[in-house]
Amino acid sequence: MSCFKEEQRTARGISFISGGVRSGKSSFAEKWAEGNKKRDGRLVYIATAKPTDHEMIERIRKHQHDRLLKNESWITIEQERDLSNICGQLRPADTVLVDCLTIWLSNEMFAHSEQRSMQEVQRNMCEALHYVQEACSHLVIVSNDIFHEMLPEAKETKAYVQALGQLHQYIVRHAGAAVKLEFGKPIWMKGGR
Amino acid sequence: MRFVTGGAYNGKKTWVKETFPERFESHFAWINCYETKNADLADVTSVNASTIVIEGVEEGLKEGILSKSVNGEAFFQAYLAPLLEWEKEHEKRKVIMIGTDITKGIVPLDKELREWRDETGRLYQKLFRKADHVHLIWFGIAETL
Repeated sequence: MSCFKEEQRTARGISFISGGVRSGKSSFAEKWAEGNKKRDGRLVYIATAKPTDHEMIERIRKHQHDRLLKNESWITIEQERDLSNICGQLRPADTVLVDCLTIWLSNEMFAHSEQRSMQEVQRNMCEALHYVQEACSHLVIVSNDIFHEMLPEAKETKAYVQALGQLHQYIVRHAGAAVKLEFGKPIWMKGGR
Repeated sequence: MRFVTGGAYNGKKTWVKETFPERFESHFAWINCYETKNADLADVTSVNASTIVIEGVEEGLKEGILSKSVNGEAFFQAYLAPLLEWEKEHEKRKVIMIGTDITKGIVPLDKELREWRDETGRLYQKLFRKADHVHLIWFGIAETL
């Protein structure tokens, strides 16, 4: 992908957390973000999911409730796509958590007003991640592992799986820490403790 | 033989190329089963190469199942075992097999796809036993099992 080769800057302070559904990735990511919070910085949560049905609303409500119960206070920014737009709201010492890449990608691919090629979508997302990372101190990215089954027949879905896999590879390459969650247990693939 | 597996689009091919660059400077044969017919696998050992890579082992098996209804074991014996024999003939020779793990999703409705998925699992167990090294790739990072 062209944006990968052109990319000269090396991002620092990116943590990547991935796992299957209900693997505990969100709660682990929140703990990891809180544990690495900078003294003068805030905890900023970027919610990419748009509530579309009752189950989704409940899911979001649970995430919000969990964050409220914590000792640490979180600021939530709802941003379904074009994540670079939030940079103006960030401060250099902030810890930013993006939950999750999976939904963000589908919003960019299937709910964006502009018609763009897959390369453009991926390049924009990579760039947005770098802008966000540069505008804050630590960027934590959560994503789903959806790669261990037969590829879907539908062309668009297959392109989605491919794009997500390539984004994961790109982020892991640039991350200081990469963690695989297996049923609540973190497995450190890169960096960390 | 090295067996390299992991999920789709996890960077298995890139990992192989980046980890063993000396093997891809010259005298190598790279067979992609998504582009090549199984029949051509039989000829690969006649190529003047010291490294043979079989990419997309699961796709080769799929062709075997759909066209000749072979199972994982028969596919292994017909197309992969000769490569292991070839490898044994000279200490510098190396076979690298790359296969995507397609075994962890929802059970497919289609009977042939179910069979393909089952036989892929069986074939990979066989490759695990036959391999000197097994690498599980997670977005570019290898775990050696």
